[in-house]
Amino acid sequence: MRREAAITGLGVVTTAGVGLGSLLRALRTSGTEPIASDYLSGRQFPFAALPSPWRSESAGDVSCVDILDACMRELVRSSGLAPAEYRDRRTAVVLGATAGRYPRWRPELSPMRVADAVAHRDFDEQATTLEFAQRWQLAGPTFTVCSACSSSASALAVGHGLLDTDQCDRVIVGAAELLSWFDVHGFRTAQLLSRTAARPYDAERDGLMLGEGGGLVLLERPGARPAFARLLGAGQSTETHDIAQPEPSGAALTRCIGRALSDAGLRASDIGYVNAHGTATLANDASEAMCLARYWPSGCDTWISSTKGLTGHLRAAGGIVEAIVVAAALGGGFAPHTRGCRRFDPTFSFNCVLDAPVSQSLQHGLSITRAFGGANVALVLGRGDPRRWLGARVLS
Amino acid sequence: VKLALVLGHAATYPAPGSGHRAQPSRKCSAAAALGGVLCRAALDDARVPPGERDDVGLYLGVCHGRTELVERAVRISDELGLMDFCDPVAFVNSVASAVTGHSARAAELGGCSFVVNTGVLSGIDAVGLASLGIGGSGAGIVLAGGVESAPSRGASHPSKLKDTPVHGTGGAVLALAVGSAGTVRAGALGEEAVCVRAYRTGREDPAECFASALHGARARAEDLAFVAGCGSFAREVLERFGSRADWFQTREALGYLGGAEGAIACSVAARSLARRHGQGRCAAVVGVSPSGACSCIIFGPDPGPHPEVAAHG
Repeated sequence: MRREAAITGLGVVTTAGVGLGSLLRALRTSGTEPIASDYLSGRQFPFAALPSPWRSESAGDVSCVDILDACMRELVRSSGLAPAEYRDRRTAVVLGATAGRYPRWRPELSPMRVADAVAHRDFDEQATTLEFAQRWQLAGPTFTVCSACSSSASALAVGHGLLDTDQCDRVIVGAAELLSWFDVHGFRTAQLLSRTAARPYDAERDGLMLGEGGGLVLLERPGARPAFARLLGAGQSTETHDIAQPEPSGAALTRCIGRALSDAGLRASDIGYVNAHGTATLANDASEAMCLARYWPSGCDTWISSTKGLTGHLRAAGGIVEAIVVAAALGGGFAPHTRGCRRFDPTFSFNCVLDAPVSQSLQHGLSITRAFGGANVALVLGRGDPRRWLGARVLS
Repeated sequence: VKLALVLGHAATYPAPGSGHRAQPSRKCSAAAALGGVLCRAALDDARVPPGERDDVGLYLGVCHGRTELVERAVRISDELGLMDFCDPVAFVNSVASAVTGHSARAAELGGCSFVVNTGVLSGIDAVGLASLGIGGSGAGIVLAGGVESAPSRGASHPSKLKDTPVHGTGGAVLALAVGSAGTVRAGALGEEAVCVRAYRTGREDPAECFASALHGARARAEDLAFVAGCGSFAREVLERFGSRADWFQTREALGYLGGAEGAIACSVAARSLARRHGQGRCAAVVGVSPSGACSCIIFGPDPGPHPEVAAHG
């Protein structure tokens, strides 16, 4: 068990808008339909698009660093972090990444044109981290962590470890993703994209919905300033079943959650809300459901949902945005619902939040992310200072 | 001071000037294939039986490895007139962490697995983070290092991706027992185990980083018997400290090897120290990246278990 870390600042951009206030409003809004857009894809496939000002054809040259910029501005505002603090050598940056800096997707972009557009240095995953550090004149250590779709969750675990071992005094952790050529053509080739929208845990789910957005959190030692939430522990495991398919039994994910609970010194029954991976693919949801039912079977007091019907699948940024969702659930006293799920798969047996958010005081939450390559990450969060959430509503 | 014991290691380097390059494969990148081989060899060297690998974690430094797969996919897609990736396997294998995924599968590792990318420092940082147990959720034994692969010249596509600067395919993986209570099970490194005594990284003057690591290891520059440099770290920095340690520079010896450089430097330093066991000397690995970051690891002889640990068995 390690020392807890305080999440003392955060910034987030999702299809719901820029900032925590927009995300909170969207999470609290009832409605079963997913937030899907086809403005950029020309109805080829729906996705969870960025809000204005990025939502325009002329915004094609927007980069992940622009999203991180917006997140960082909110992080600085919400935490009161002074320039001297974030530029300090003892402030580390850990960003998650899946692939390099590919251009934002356009229907006419062929593989050859993309290859011509991408210089070798852009293919390097740390390109975004270095540019972000340069823009904000960050002088501390920078790390880029890659575990595909669980990258930013792994980054949070690494950031937590850096603080715990006194390698730094504060850590800025996060990731951002755009609808890139790499993702669109890759997931389409793998036949994982939904033709309608993400419907996690639905009996008729037909695939995932890509999303755009990102998030950053500031991790500090407890007491540095009032916390939005507390990062209590992390668990990781690797599935050796297949490089792309989840293990049907969910055994490795079960180990991962067990390690996270052990790291946090908690039992499964201490967890009030679980933000599950819930991509809405047939294979992921089925294997994840088996694991969830082991820890939190139907009838127990733990609420479970997937928020990918709202945010889309954010690949590298999924872990950080969903950790922020858990923090918001703990701070706001509610369990967000599974947007997109119309008819809960009758073969699953856990307390899935359907139709509308559930109001309930929550002490501890858990976020689950999974990835190609078999990297599972589970993060355990605890409720922070309630006054921080009053501030978040004011900011919205 | 003991962050982690080095239980075993495995390494392979491209022969200088050989220009050995990866052969494109549909199944996985050359870096991933090499990673799997090195992980298995490091575990065998550390005498970790197959039944005890469920908790073993994996940290690999990788910058460019699997580029040859992207090039191959682009070439085939172009030849076939496809807009999409030529096949789903190529897409999955094009993600950086496919290297750790394949490696973990090959060695049947069930702990954490992720790629650390800090450019030419990736290998050092992977070993450094692993030795501190960072991100590993309490795993006792972890594998850490770096692998890299370069596209085959014959398969290179006439695009900017062909500018891959990696000089060959190579890498190194160390098996580490994290914490001070590890059981000494020295493999090829000799009868007396080597341990990681300090790790420092930051954007600072290389001399400051080096001095800070020495301080953390409770060692002096004159205690160093061997220093392995990677990236643009130069011997002049050592001379400022009055060190007369033997010197090895991966870049000069092997050419640019991206994320594998630091890992190879760690492997060379640890082996060098094992050859000098009983002398009480230390070895250092120092790297400087073009972004201005510097990382340093100090290896030293195993001081043995902490007295309290020994007393309590």
